[in-house]
Amino acid sequence: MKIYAAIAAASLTFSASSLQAIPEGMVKIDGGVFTPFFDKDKDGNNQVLNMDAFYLDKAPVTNLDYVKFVAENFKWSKSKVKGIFAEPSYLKHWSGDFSFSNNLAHKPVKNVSWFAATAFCENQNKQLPTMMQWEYVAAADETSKMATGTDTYRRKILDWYGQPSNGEVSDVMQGEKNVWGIYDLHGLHWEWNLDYNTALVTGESREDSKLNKNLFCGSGSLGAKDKLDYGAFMRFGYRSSLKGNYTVGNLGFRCAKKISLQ
Amino acid sequence: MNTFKKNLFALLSLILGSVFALPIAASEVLPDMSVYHLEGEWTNHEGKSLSLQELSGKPVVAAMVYTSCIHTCSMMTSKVLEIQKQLPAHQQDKITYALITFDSKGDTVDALSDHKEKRKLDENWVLLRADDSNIRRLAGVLGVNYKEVGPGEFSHSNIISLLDKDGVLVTQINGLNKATTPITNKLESLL
Repeated sequence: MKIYAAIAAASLTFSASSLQAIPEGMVKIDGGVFTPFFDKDKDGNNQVLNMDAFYLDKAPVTNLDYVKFVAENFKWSKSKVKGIFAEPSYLKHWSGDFSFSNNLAHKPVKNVSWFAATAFCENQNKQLPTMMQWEYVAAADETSKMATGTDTYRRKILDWYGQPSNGEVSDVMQGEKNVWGIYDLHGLHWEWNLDYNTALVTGESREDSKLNKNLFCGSGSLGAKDKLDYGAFMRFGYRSSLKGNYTVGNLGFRCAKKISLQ
Repeated sequence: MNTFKKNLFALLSLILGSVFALPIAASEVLPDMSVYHLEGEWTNHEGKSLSLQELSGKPVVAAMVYTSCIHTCSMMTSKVLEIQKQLPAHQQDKITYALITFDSKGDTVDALSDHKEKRKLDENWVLLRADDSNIRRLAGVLGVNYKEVGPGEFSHSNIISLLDKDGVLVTQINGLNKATTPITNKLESLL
């Protein structure tokens, strides 16, 4: 009996340690197969990616989240940040180093550079989601994990992209969550990715050693898997225009986290 | 100012300077746009760990590469060598030539050291490696795009950057077919 008890105890301990608690405010994204529309291998075939499971923040980082980070990391305040890491318009919607109007608290933070977003996530032992992780989760709608082929998905995203972005966005987590339990990937703003600088389209294509022609919206797009996924084309075009210190009024971020095997 | 005051002033500056020199973080004295604000640990081809700021004091000609590639990267090394060779002998030693790898796994200290030997790079050259996070940050400040397209194989922009002695980007050439003159001309004015 004692032996069984010991084995039971050992297996309990084992299962407890292998089941890592999901970090607060995050959702576990299961691994799976993903065929991004844009990425081809060297022979021009669609790439089928095996995505590992990871955690992703349910909601974009808000102004309130961000001001807490700045309070502990003063070098990322408006007055201290270095120009090499953020343009002068960094956090320009804030009135001071730690102040902004009350109604902004739960709205996504914007006017933050890639360097700032990276520092925020690393401060929480997280990192920005990669482009593939982000697109993998963004391919879901409220009922399906892979909704990119459907008319309703396409229509919803294009309707949002078609709207002018001058108005104030709503607070986070007000819209519908997708089937993973993730909010606001589409509809509020754009988000930084870890590898925003992978697109080899410089405007001088001949200068790049191996140009990813599939990222061009022109002739390259003919090779894409889903010619109707204009939303994804717009996102890739947008990302390839970014530099790490850009701070843009409709660009925020959320963080992802690796699932470490115990 | 008379001589006495001058001396007093010099003495005060000396005292104040020595008192305050240590507490002032190095980042405070670097220009706002210096690449050397990047913190993080790098390792050179001899296995010595260093911060990027340790490159300050001399202009740096920098290129991001990976040494296991067959075609483009060795051409990048050749292009930086070409810049070095174009300078008069007495100026060549006043510049640091830096190759920074994209490949945090394949480009070990040994691989970097082999590349340095194979390409006969002299003591003014430094080859650097770091983890992926630091590599991505440096690529970010230099405006270099890259992507791992297979295990140990990278697509990347062919950019060579000239930094002044404080790590501020002065000019770049983008493309292997470009003339090196934008960099060599600027170098003369930095020395």
